[in-house]
Amino acid sequence: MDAQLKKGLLEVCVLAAIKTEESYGYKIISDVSPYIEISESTLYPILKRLELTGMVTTRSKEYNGRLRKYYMITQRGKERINDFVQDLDEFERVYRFICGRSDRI
Amino acid sequence: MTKYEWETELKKCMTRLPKAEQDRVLAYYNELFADRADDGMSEKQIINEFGNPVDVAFKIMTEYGMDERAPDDERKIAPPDFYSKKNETFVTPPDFWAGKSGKKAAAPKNDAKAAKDEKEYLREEREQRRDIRREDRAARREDRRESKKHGGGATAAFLLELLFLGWLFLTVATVAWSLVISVYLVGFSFAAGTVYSLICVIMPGATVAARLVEFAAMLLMLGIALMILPNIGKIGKFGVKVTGGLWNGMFGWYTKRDKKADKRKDGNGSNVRSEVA
Repeated sequence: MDAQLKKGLLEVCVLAAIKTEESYGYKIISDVSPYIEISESTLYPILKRLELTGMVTTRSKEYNGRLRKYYMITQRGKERINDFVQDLDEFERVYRFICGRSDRI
Repeated sequence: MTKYEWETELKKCMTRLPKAEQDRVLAYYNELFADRADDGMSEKQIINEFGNPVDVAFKIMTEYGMDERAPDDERKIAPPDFYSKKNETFVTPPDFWAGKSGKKAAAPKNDAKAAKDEKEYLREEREQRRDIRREDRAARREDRRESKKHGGGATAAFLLELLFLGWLFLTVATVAWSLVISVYLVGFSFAAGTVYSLICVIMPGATVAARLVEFAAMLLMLGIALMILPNIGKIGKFGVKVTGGLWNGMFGWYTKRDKKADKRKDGNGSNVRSEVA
């Protein structure tokens, strides 16, 4: 998959993984990996970017005698998912256009 | 490669990043390591999953715009030979290898340095944990302060609302049940009156006119009693319906809200598109 396209998809996948409840790094990877390839080193920059853009907030909670960082979606993050879903229709049109053109070649 | 070696290597590759960011990256990988270990994975497996620390550092540096990667032969830090030793097993040499004199082989000088590094590493790790805990405590304090600021008023309003609704419910329910009980009492009183009038009618010594009046009264009371008593169940149901309806109307939103919250908790969010749509 194209790197830029995957980057955008991964961002939305991570947001979707924390949409219903707060989650932590390992769980996010476990939830997302059945659908799209994601590794620890890929997730870190995504989470950082989402945090910087205000789509995600964090808090540390004690678990098993250690601290675990939990990520929570913000209203802006939810809006990003909605925008993505709306963009899919446009994407589908472009996809059909590309497929139609490539058939003629 | 051990966890300590992997992290040391990662640290070496991230020296150009700000110290705070380095700490964040290490804390992130520490947490992932602990979670995977809790999941039953071995140290070796986890390190294999994490991949080459040089590549990991490169990905993070790219985010910082430091993506100019030095060619392999110009690198100051050589990338570890990570995958070639996958199937190699290491056996600790027994003591007799030290020679016939029985003297143990002296530990290489580098061990002392490694031990020192490890101590330094553990100290840093402890400091990191302490920092995170401090941040966590500060965040919790902030949360408490916020909830005191905004939450106090909301709780008082909620309690007042609950108190008012409770008072309203009790009043209306009392009136409804008083009505039901009054109708019951009227029914039973007329039934008793019928019996009394019957006794008066058949009692010896009364005049014919008095007997006729008592008989008429008996018929009237019997009629009213027969209107009420067979419908005792229906009247009771009316009371229950009024009370239940009131309860649902006033407090149903509260239980419905809890149920909705439970539903949200149970949902795994896998069907995101349909949920959003």
